[in-house]
Amino acid sequence: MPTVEQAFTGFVLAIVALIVAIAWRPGSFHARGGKILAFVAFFLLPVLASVSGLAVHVEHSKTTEFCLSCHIMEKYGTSLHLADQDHLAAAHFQNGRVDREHACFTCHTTYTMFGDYKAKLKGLKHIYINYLGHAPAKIKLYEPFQNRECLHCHDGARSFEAQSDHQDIRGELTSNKTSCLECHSPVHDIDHQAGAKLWEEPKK
Amino acid sequence: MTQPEAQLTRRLRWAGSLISLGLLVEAGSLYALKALSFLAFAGIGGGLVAAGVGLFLYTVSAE
Repeated sequence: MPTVEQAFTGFVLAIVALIVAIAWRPGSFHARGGKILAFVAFFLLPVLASVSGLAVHVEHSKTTEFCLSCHIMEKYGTSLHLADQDHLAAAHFQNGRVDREHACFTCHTTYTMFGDYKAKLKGLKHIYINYLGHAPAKIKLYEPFQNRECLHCHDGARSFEAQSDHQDIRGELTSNKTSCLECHSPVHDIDHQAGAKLWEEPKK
Repeated sequence: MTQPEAQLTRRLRWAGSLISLGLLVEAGSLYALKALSFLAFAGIGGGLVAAGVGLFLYTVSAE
């Protein structure tokens, strides 16, 4: 079964072959149906391929590898591997509470109707700032982290609901009056990584 | 081949070359999970395809 990248490459090669057949074969443009075929090969198919490729890139941008490909994110990637399980992000990553291949996106998307799109637009802005603009020395979230993102997974989970600490402030957690991070921190400790013990991901 | 036909063929070949190159860059960019590959896709590949499609539409409309 070909991967989506291989399928896309095959599609592109087919378009290129069609373009070559039309543009480098004298008279084919003026032959019966030639203009329609040219319109398909030179306009419809390339546009379709580009839109498909964009959709693949959008899926790629949800991966941890994509997020950590920018130098500025390296320490955040390291924070996922800190052996000390008191670190929230590390505990989630290492214990499989989030899909490791989509770790950043799982917690940092917005679980609302258009949350994915907003996350993608923010991602575009990040790429622009990283490569074409001026990235700040220390990055921070645009707004305080919302409990909604935590409760997307934990709400209703036995391990979460059974905790009396959670029950006592259940309403405050739902309304975001009390942040989950008030008790569950540090999240990404990027300032104390020198010499810290790291967890090694088992090889598959 | 008359001069207008020769010009049409030349423009079609240029448009085809731009589109083909752009699509190949787009395809190549999919093999790397990096932010830079997205830039290559959108900036280089998308730009070349857009230029080629634009040239094709101009050629057809001027014909």
